[in-house]
Amino acid sequence: MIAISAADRRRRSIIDTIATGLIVAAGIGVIVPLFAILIFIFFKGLPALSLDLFTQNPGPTGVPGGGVKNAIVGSLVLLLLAMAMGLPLAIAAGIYLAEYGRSRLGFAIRFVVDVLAGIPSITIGIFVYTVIVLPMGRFSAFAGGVALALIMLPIVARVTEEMLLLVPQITREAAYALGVPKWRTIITVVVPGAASGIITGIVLAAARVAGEAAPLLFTALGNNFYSRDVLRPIDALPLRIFTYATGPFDYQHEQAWASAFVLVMLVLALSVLARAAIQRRAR
Amino acid sequence: MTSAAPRALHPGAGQDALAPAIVVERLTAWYGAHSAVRDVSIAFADRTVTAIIGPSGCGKSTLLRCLNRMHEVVKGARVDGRVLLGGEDVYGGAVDAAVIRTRVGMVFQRPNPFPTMSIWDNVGVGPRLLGHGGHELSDMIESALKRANLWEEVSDKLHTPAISLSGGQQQRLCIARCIAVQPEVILMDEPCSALDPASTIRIEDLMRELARDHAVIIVTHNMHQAARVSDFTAFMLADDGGGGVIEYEDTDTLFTGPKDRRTEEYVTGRFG
Repeated sequence: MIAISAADRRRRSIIDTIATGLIVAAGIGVIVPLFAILIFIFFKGLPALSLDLFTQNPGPTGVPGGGVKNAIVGSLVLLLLAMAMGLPLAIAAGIYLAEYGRSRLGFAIRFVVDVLAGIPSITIGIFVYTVIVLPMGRFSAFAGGVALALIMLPIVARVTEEMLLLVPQITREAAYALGVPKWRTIITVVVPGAASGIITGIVLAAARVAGEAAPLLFTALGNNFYSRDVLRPIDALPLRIFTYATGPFDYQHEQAWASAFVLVMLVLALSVLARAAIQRRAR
Repeated sequence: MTSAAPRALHPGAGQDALAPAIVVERLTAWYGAHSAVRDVSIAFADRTVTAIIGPSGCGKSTLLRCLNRMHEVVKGARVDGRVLLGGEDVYGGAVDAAVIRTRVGMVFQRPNPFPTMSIWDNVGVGPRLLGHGGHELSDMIESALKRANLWEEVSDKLHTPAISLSGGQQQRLCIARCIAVQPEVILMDEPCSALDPASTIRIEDLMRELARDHAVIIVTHNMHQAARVSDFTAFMLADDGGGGVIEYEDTDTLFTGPKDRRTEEYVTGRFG
């Protein structure tokens, strides 16, 4: 036994208490902003929430009333477009990086994907404006979907890669040892083994782009009217919040808060749905 | 080694029952620039259990993985020499590694059932790959589970996830998965090292049963296990140039009257 003096023991105990206190404080510090935002949106948004918000489209500017049905539907359309265009490519890229990415090409692609992830979303908006909106001669939901897809792409690709790499080598070898070809091993063993992680990544990416306003400003543009046409401008919740929050009328501010509340709930619902799906798979 | 060469190449030569299932000729296996197995020639008899023993790093697992072309799965791995399965070189130019692996099955050190699949689907992977379906598939799965002595324990929960089984059951499931496609040779790479003693005994009994229809080759750290289950034992040792077979005899002879001093020192526990 090493002898520890009483003074030494007391000193250690004090340091321990201080360190524990600091860590707990840091933990709380992380939670505080999240809850502050949620509570704020809750108290500001809830009073303005009404059935009209979901069932009515915006009325003439300056006339109180109306809702943001067009923005809610628009956000869902944009999300579906982004996922339909972005996910197949992103997941395929992730599979390539994880299973074949130890090559020079793999490292190059990984680097490019990381750079893409770091590009500000407004820059992606300008890019899509140049290559899609200008040639087509119009703002459209399609252009907005492309912009959001480009933002989702690197997130989902890297999450897919990382989740696939977590599938143990011995699981792959079990398949190889049965004579299962590599491509079939990837489809039947590796991807299913990583599915829950990949789905979580997809939901996080969807939640992230659901809240984006910048890349939609000059792609989807926004729309005061109800539209589901992918070739026409479409509204989105972040755009509606931006318009109303900076508008001059009180009813607009109230609806901006209510829309923010709806947006947060939408994102929250997405994560809860994904979690439920994962847990059902696991059982 | 040279003096024992003829015998080492064909243990039990002269006995018709012991026709070789797989013959290794001058095999050298590298990982990058490092050769883990150097110039090994050895024949494994059909319908017997052959054990490969030796200290860590002697190349025994590498040799085993060369037999079903799993060695090449590791990046930078390379093989020179021949491995004859039924007279055909598994490293021949036109030979598909995937086909070899359906003929030479493998059981790994840690039980590795497919985690997202049920017990039933785990065993069904091999037969499905070969195009079996319907009743035929069901029969193959049931038969494999029975031969792996697992059927009675799982017949009422075939569609539950494989990972809900205990470690020993998972390893028997992996054996069932391996034998479902009726391979000619079954390779086992320290199949009991992650298991408790009771599960180990069950697997060892199973090895004896499997040797009635297959050539079973096991790599083991455990000399007692080699002595208990094997008909023949090869002792491997590595020097700077890679691992080689030092002595290859029927198991009783190798353990009771080894010819090589290094074998004697190893089996009597003086090193390794």
